[in-house]
Amino acid sequence: MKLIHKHNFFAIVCVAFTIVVCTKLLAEKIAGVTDPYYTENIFTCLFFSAVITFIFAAHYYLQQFPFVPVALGQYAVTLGLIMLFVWGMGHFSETSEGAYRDMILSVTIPYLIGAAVYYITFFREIRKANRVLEQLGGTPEFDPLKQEAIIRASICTGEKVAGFKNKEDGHFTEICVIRTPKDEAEFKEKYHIEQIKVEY
Amino acid sequence: MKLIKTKDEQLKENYLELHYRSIDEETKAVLARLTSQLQYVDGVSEEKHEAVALTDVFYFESVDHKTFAYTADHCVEMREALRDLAEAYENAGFVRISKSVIVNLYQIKKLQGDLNMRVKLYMKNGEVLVMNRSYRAEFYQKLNKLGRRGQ
Repeated sequence: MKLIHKHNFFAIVCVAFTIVVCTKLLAEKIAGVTDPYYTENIFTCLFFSAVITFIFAAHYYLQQFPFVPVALGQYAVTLGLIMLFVWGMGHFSETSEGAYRDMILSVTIPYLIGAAVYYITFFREIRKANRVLEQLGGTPEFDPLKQEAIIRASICTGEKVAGFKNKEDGHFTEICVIRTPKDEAEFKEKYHIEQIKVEY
Repeated sequence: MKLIKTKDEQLKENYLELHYRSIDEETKAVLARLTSQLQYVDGVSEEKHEAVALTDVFYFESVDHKTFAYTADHCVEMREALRDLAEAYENAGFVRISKSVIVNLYQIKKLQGDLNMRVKLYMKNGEVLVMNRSYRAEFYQKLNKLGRRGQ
């Protein structure tokens, strides 16, 4: 699915520009500094918002390639273009001493945050999908290394449900309702469990 | 919805009968699941015609302009094109994961991601398929829809 296309490109550039400028103003306020090149830097932010959005839009055409080289390649291209721009601007107006360093940080920090968010979202989606697959697949398998078998008993209704609790995230997968000691014995025998903890 | 099972040893063939006042979402979900269980796909295997239950198909794959249906232990060449199979069996739990593969969601054991953002699908027969990133959104959408239907 193409996230960035010609119909929403300018809208995304505008949103990105707004976020970048607001961050810039906030950072200046916190640091207590005034930007002596305010006008030039505002237009620089607009230019970078457009260029970076364009580079991210190209990601759709690169999905057949492994992600890490693509991400690193896009980062290198973005940084290269920005450095080139700063170098070019240096011929027409004065640039501050830390211009190159500041631009590297301005690109790298959001890029790393974006990549981290992307990865976290990716793996969370997979975990959620695996839970759905467990439900669809019928009887889930029991992995004693990652799960523990427990019986959840309701204090209000007294209903007991046997299932597996994930040791990492605490997610509980229901297997069957336990009405009689025979149900419990069958559950233990099926999954080769000797003892089950009861949780309320 | 109540489920009533009646054993009748006089029966020659098992049958299912659904009694309903109106077809609501729950009934639709049950019908969709039952219909896919009772559907068969026709193909050719070792020069013999073969009918395979749709629920036994793990995935369809297009190779060299031919379409194959893969079950747990063998594959059957299909007459239909992959595009037509994707359309026909969309509601039976089949979803496209790449340009040439349509997978049966009910036959996926688990998903696993790697650092290159590739999603590997571990099938119940031990095979591993790789999902193309561009089909991820549609895959999750269909999976979540199936998950909600089943609740």
